[in-house]
Amino acid sequence: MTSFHGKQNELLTVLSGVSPFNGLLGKLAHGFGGHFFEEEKYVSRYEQSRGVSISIRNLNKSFEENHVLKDVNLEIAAGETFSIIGPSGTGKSLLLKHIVKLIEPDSGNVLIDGQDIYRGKPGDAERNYRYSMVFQSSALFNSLSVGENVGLWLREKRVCREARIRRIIREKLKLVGLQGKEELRTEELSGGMKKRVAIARSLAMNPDLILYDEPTAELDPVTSDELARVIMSLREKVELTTVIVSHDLNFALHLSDRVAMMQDGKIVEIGTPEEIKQSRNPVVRNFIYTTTKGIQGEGN
Amino acid sequence: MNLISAIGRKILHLAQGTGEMLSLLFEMIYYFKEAPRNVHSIFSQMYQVGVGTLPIAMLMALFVGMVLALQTGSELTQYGSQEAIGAIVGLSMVKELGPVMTSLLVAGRIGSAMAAEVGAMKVYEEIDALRTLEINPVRYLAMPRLLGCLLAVPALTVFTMLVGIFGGSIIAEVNPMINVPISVYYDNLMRSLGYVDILKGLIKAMVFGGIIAHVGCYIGFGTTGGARGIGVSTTRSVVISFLLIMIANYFLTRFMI
Repeated sequence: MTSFHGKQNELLTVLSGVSPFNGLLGKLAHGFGGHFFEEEKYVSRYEQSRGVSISIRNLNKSFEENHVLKDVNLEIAAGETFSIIGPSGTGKSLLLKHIVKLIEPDSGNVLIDGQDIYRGKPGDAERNYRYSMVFQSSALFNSLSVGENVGLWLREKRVCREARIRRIIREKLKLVGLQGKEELRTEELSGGMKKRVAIARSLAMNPDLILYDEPTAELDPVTSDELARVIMSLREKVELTTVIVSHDLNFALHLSDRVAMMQDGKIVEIGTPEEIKQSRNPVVRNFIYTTTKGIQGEGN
Repeated sequence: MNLISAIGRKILHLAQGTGEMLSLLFEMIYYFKEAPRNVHSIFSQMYQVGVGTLPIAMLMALFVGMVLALQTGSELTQYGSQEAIGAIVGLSMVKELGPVMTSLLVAGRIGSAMAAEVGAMKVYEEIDALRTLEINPVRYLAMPRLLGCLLAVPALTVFTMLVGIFGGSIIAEVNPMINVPISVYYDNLMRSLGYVDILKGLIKAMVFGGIIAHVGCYIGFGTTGGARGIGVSTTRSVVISFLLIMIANYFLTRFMI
């Protein structure tokens, strides 16, 4: 299929080079340009997970006139729990979507374990790591039960037999404190439970890299605290790299090995939670001041 | 100059949309090979299209057949050739009204629901979630809908054809102005209706079913902008489906006549 689309695209690209209607054909080439969505078919070494390193180099992304990500550079070590904090609308979630290939950058590179995820030829870029993402909205499938949501990837990829899939579902739900909830419908769940099911669904992939997009959004402080405990316990039980995007400063500082602060599409500060707390960078100081209701600011 | 650039932009937009629709169609067809993995989903779609729409489709077909008999019967009586009513109602229902009417009903009922459902999944990040789970949304969502419509719309059309013909026969018999016995009605019908006519009607229904699913999924995948965007997609899918069904109907009739 890839080669079929590739030939269509090649033909249209050649035509667009010689035709006065190059704009029109260019658009057609874009339309024909291969798959709507790509599907990875590679499932290897399901039993083990490992942390992967992430290297983001000079990443840029614009939407028409709006330059959202501006030369973003970031290094995340294998096995690290890394948070990206900053006010809403600074491009944090967009950056996360680049790491999982949901959006292509205008320029720059994203390397996972040294492999550029956007530059390989189709077909030879079969990856040897698994990633999963917990979305801000949880993004559970309403037509499926809790257990079916958690086991969806396992069943679709036929990773193992049904009996084992059921066992894995039970295990992953237990990990997030939702044992015995397999049969519940997703509409019966609270916001916090939905987040935990989404985490269990991600964990069912036994991922090497897990990304959380605003995990505490719309959650009350008690549920946020529960969620933090779940993520903390995962760090101890599962070997993986964790990237969290949040505007919840306390949540990020509590969980992370290192934290990056983003402002206006740029990384303005990177450091350990202690370094971030002690930072003299005015953008960071201002963010800390406003998100902690002036407590830190009073000392200044 | 502004007008020219606006027209140019529209043409480019149309070209891009056409390219994307073709790309989606090819990919859906490509994933037919994965149909055995998605049997449950395909049957679920067929149930919604076929069984879910059957009562309203039959009721509509009954009245359309009755109206057709009433209109043509009253005209034919003036020329003393009312026996031909069976052939006229039968051929109209089988070759035109059955497939077109059923498809328009399915486009309004199922096509709009498809666009809304897939659109909601797009807006609420479920499509993105599928992609991060390494599940191709075209294979998982669109292909079963396309296959479901391709199979269920012709099946549904068979019922609307039969019920429409039956409705016409009732009116032909009971309406004193027409007064054609049912035996004459069906005798006349059987003499003029061939298997090829039925096949042509079913081919039309299949093509229209494909259009409904294709448009519903394409519009759904392109949905943006929250609840309002879902509403816009629903309306767009119905309008575009209706339009494409009518255009396709002309060309199919032209080539199959």
